[in-house]
Amino acid sequence: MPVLIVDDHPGFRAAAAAVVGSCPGFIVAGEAATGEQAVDRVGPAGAALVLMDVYLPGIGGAEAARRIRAAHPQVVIVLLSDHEPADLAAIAVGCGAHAGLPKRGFGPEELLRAWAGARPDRPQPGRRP
Amino acid sequence: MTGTPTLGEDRVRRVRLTRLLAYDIAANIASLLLLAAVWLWVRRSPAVGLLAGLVAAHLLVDLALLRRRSPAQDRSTVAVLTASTWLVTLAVAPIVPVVLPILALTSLYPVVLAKPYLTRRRVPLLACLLVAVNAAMAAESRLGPLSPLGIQVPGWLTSAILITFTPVTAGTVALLLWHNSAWLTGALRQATDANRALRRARQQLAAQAGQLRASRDRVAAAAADAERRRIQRDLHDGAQQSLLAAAVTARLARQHWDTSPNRTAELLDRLRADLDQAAADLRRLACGIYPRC
Repeated sequence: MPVLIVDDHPGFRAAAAAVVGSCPGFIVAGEAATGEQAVDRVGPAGAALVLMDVYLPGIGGAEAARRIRAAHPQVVIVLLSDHEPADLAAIAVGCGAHAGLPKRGFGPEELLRAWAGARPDRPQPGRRP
Repeated sequence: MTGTPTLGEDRVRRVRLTRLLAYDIAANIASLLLLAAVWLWVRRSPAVGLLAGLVAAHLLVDLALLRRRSPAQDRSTVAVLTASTWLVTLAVAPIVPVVLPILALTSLYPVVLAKPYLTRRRVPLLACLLVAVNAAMAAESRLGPLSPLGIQVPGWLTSAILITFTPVTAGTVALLLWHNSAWLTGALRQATDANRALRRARQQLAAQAGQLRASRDRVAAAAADAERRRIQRDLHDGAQQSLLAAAVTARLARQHWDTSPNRTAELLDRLRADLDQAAADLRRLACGIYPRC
């Protein structure tokens, strides 16, 4: 699954890329530092999943998620943030994202679980033989 | 404030003094005419000439005082006028004892006139002098018939003079008193107005000081708030993200520990870079808060 990683902090983008690389069947298709860049790059990168930070310069993660959902309804969007889980869930529902994960404790299992929860009808890439 | 009250008072005193001098001059001229009539048609006595001389001298003093223009001389003008008036009344009393009531009323003129020009301490002195002058005039009038200067005036003329001049003199004293009270009321109103304006100005000043203090507090609070927000943003965008990345990387390294030593080594390098970055972010933030680092 091609993944687009969106975060304005290069250190966290690298960590998220390491997590994606540790999930079987997932590859990093591209990175973006702002919401606008994410909206522009999701199509050309052919991303099936977008890992989106909420705090971003410019339009912000929630608005970027809304625009991506409108332009590419098939793309799964997972918000990443250091918000409290309840607040993050509310933001995710508000912008049409499929899930919201806390940055603290983010790892391959959490990513795979979010993907499975977002697309229950799809084959689970992590469990493919 | 437009014009200080003192300037206004000076002007009022000046106008008042000039009017009173003019009145005194008119009264003296009337007296001279009366004496001339007595001389021509009643009795040609040396005493009448002496009286005329006294009145004429007083008239000259009045005219001299009227020429003075400076408000600074007002007090000496009043003093000279007082002395001159009393000297004339003291001189007339033994010559024409029957006009004592008129002389007594006339001796009140300078006292009533002088009031606004006197300091408080001088008022008792003036009152004592007035009493003394009247006592002297009364004594003189009793000695009058014995005096070689005394003149005998026909009864009808005495009656005419007393009936005419006593009410006129009394009325003049009353007018002077009324003048004083009007002047005092005006001065009092000016003082009250000035006081009220001062109180209003002080209230406005206090209100403005309060507004200024509140505004300064608001500015300080806003500045402190902006500074807190800046520090929060720096922490969130910098060190916090580096530490979250470090935590994610450490967790991954632990997961790869058993299966892939090479991958673990890469992740540990990554972890060290994240921690270095966090330390650098914190140092930069500390320098922003306290620049001498």
